[in-house]
Parts: sequence; structure tokens; C-alpha cells
Amino acid sequence: MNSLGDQQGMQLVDSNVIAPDPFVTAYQQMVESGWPALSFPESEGGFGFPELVELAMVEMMQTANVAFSMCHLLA
Amino acid sequence: MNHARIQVGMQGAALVERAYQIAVSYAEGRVQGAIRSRGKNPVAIIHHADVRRMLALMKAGKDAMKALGYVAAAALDLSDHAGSEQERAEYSARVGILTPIVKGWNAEFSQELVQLAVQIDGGMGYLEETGVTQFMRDARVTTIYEGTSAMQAEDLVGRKLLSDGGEAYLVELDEMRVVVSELALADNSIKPIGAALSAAVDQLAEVFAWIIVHNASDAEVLEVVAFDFMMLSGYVAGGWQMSRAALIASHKMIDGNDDVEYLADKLATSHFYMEYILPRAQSHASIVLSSGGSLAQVRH
Repeated sequence: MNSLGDQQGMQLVDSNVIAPDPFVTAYQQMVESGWPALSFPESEGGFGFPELVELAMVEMMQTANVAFSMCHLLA
Repeated sequence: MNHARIQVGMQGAALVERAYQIAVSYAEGRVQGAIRSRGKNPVAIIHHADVRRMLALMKAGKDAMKALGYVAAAALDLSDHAGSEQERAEYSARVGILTPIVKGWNAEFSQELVQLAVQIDGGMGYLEETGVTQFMRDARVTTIYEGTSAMQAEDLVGRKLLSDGGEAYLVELDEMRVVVSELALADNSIKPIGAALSAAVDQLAEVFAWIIVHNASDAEVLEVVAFDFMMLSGYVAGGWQMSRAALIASHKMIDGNDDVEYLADKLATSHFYMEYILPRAQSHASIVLSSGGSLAQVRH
């Protein structure tokens, strides 16, 4: 997925920004697993983990696919 | 904002990690060149000293950058969650100092390190065969977005140091000195790490004092030297973290921890950082202390 994203890039189609399909599925899976909510307070539906722990997750994600990790950073 | 900058700093380190893993794998397989002392047969390039030099730069660099990022993230947590208001304020000041260094220094240092993987992979690397050029391109934006390196430097020197007269920075220097004194009491094998850190911190303190004086009297000079002060801060802070790692690894080994190979490797990597990477601090220190008078005269 990392080199696919590099080759295909984002597409601008009729004013819509289209990500490569695997990015969309991967992000959906990530959301379903709860990862984006890792460091949000439990009162807001998060898991209440420290930034320190989130950074460890982020590091792994960035190492695998830095472009994909931007979904999380920008969200 | 700190959260995003710390994560962008980590992007640099993560890309170096990825590129490093590919470079190691390539170097283990690619056979070229004999080593004179070992005979006529060509060897896998991982045995050549210069390849090992490049791999070690990547390894020690990413270790230091990651460690600094985690220290900043922990400070961010404590700035929100520490027990007392005073502690939270202290950690907030710490985050203020560390964040521009993590974003600014990590991103800049990563540029060089990620390219070493292309160098190691040679023609195969450059011609996209091993994929490392993607990491080089991916890393290129990290010095640009979320505030350019110049912006991080300006934040560190022009805003953070100006806002409290350098008090928060002095706290960091004190933290470094604690590690220096702990190393002075440590096993002989790691004392040289402490000596290297001590010299670097002393020099950093000297340059810091110069900055504080000029903050008051000549703000324009600071714009000229800010980048190099940020890089100086980064290389020394990286050395501080590698020194901490060496102390912890040394204690664990003495305590009989099982992971001997990992701990010994950590010590070796820390030694390497102090010998091969930390000396860069000196060049940045010289530049700051020169006051950049020559810069104003250069025309384009």
C-alpha cells in the first residue's frame, strides 16, 4: 500500500479528492479498531491513553506508511 | 500544536527507521569489493567500514531522535496531568522548549540520514528498485510543513527563550548535568560518554548565555543564528538521551539482565553517537558565536 500510494497519489476528480482504495479500507479498519481515539479522554469516547503511548502507535504507523499516518494526524 | 509538531518530528525518525531496515537487508545481500586484510574474495557490503559507518549514523541518529520525541510527548502529558499547577506549568515550559527542537532538529537531521539508505543501496536505490527513494521524498516535506525549520528556530530563540529569559532552557541544561554527574559515577566503560556529554553541555551553556545577552541587546542577530542554535540544541539533546540510554543499559547489564545483546548494542550505539554525531554540535556553536556578521555582506 505504501508504494501504491506513492505511485498513484491522490486524484482530483470532479472536485472530489480520491485516495487509493486500500487507503480508504485501511483507514476504515483503523477507525473500527478504535486507534484514532487512543489518547482522547474517556469522557469523549476515547481510551484515555497518554500522548506518550499514542506516539508509540504513531511511530509504528509512520514507519509502515507515513502518508497513511497523515490520515490520523490531520483528522 | 505541540502534538502535531512532535509527531512530524517522529515522521523523520520513522522514515529513517524504514530506510535503515531496507539498507541493512540490502547490505547483507549485496556482494562487492574485497577487504584487503581478509583476502581476495568480495564480501557482502555490510562488512565494509564505510557502509557500517553510514548504517551506524542512521541507527544512532534515529535512536536519539525517537528518544527525544518520547521525552517531549511525556512532558506534554505531564503538562496536562501532573499533580500540581506548578508542576504542570514547569512541564508546559519544557514542552515549549523541546517541541521546536524535536520538530526542527529531527526533520533536518533525517534528511541526511534517510539519503544514506539511497547511498548504501547504490544504483539500485537511486533507480527505485529498493524503494528507498520514496522515503527520501517522503522525508523532504518534514522540514517544510507544520512550520518550517526556520519557524521552529524562530520559535525556540525568538519566542520561547525571550518569553522567560531562558529559565525553561536552563532547566533542560540542569537535567543534562544530572546525567553527566551520574555517568561520572558509573562503570568505567561508559565514563567517556559522560565526558563527551559534559563538554557538549558546557559549550551549549556558553552559547545559550550568549543568546540571552543578545536577546536583550540585539534581536536582529538572533534571526541569523537561530537555525544553528536549534541544531546545536538538537545534537546535544540527542546526546543527552543517548547518554541516559547508556546509563540505563549499563545498570541493567550490571544487574544481570538477560537481554545482553540488546543492551551491549545500546551501549555501542550511544558511544558511536558521542564520537561521530555529537561533534557536529561544535560547528553549530561556532556559527552562533560568530554572530553571523559575514552573512549581511553576502549578495545574491
